[in-house]
Amino acid sequence: MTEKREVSIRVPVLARVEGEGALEIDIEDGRIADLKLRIYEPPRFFEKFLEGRSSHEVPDMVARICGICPVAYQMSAVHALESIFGIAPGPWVRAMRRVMYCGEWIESHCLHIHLLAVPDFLGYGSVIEMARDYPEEVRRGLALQAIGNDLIRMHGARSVHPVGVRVGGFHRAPAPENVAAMRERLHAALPEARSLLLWTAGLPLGGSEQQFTCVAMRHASEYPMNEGRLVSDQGLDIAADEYDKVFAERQVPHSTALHSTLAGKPYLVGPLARINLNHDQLPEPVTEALQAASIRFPSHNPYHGMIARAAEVYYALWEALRLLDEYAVPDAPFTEGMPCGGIGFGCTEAPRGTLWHRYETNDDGTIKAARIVPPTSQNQARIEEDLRLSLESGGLERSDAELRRQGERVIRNYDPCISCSTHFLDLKLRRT
Amino acid sequence: MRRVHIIGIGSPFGDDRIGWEAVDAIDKSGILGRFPPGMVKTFCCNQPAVGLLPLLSGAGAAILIDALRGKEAPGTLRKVDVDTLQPQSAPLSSHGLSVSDSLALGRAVGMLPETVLVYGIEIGESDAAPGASARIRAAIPALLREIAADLQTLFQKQFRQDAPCPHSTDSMSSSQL
Repeated sequence: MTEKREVSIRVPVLARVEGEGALEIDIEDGRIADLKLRIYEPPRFFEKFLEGRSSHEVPDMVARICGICPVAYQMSAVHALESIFGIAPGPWVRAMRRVMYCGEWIESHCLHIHLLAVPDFLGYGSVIEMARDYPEEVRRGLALQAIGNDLIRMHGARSVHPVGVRVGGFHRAPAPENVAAMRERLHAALPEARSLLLWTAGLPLGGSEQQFTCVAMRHASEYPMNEGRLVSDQGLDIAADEYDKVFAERQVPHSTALHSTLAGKPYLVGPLARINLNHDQLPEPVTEALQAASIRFPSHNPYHGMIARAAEVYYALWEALRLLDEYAVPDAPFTEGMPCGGIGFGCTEAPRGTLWHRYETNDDGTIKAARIVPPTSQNQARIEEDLRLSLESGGLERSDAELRRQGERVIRNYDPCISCSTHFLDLKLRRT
Repeated sequence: MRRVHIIGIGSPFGDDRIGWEAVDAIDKSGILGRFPPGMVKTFCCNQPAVGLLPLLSGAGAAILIDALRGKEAPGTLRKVDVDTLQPQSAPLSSHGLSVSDSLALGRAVGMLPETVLVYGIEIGESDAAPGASARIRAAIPALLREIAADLQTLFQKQFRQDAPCPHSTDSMSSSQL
């Protein structure tokens, strides 16, 4: 006898345009026979929208893919196009791109830590409930997040999407007085970010070690953001243009997102994978704080991803401060180039992990074809694997409500980019 | 006297853009010129989780405009009682933090302005067209009248509280849409 129940978790009041996420689990004889996580993923549409567009339109268009990490999409795009057009933007642009990326890491990680992760670990239904008992911690998180917002905004923003980024650099350079004011705020926030790291490390995280492959970029002399090779803890070491040789994307019937695999297996991208592969590149204040918190990376407990995020918030403040200490207004905030035909690749570290772009341009530089592989589609198979392991180890005889709660918690730990428009998860649970 | 922030919430996709288009219409309407310079500011927000609370910072009152999917006909303007907005119980992603969640969070940590007014414009089923459709935009004239009246009330209230000044009050009450 087959029993099928559907549970709608949420009905939004003020709605964005909605997509839909769904989790389907088939339990047979006390084991998970099938598990499917369906995520609506917007980049698929954008790849087609980009075709025929001028290269200078691309940074603004890709920024619209994600309301939380627009900078990441811009960064991978401009690197890819610059590689086609033979543009080398130089050290000032390189430094300011890192600063902007620091802002996005701070903003995105603070949201994940405070809105999703900590309420789960402390047993609250939401950050709103948690804020009644932890108002100072939530205010600290929101204040750090606001610094992230303003770091992005400093490089030329309108109120909706950041528009300061262009192929070759930035449209304008921040005024020195704005940079000086930002440096003061960054400096003042350092103790707050250190406290955040120690706080997250002291929370009752639970979870257990799982076996999975970590993939992230790696740079010879710095914690990776915009440049480096793609590496794994299983010996992978390739350039961005070799991505297709080792990573496979496959369409699965249950999701609009493509599933990525490495050597036929799921893998992890994102803060935990990044810090596992690059912890030796963290500066002394961050490693000191991790030691003070008795945290050691690498770790294969997925829940340690939250500590990795807090460590990257602390790191991003230090890194932005270091880069802005040497700030000077350049002769020009960008380098001009001549659009031409070719194929180029851009691979950068978005807050949620490696974001890979491939563009093919026509002779006039317009976009002939675009491919975008976002972190969430790379993590999707890993999330499904984590769901299977976590739900089975906790016992499948538990009630539907308990299974749903744990499933949601596992999914939230990855903070999937389930489209800025997707607000609820349908759970379909079938027991036979 | 404290500023009023008018915030249109939306996305680039179809009718969900109506919050941004409403703010654009307010900017072009001339309404704001009837109030003290710099005291009413307009903003667009595309991701409440990231942007809404920072935009409320420093404001004495806020007016939010968002697309709404309820039971009324598309294009219907509704003034939503902020106290009736229910926060979402457990979003799966930080992308899912809604307007009501952000307001509830702001209230919980004492970051909300004293007055928050929320307008919703019914959008029904929307597609990914480049802008809001004409039937949704049809709500804008009524919205402009409501907002002009709200601003007048807010500033009269503030003047009464801050520094009664019959001259100024007279000049503002003569401003009718």
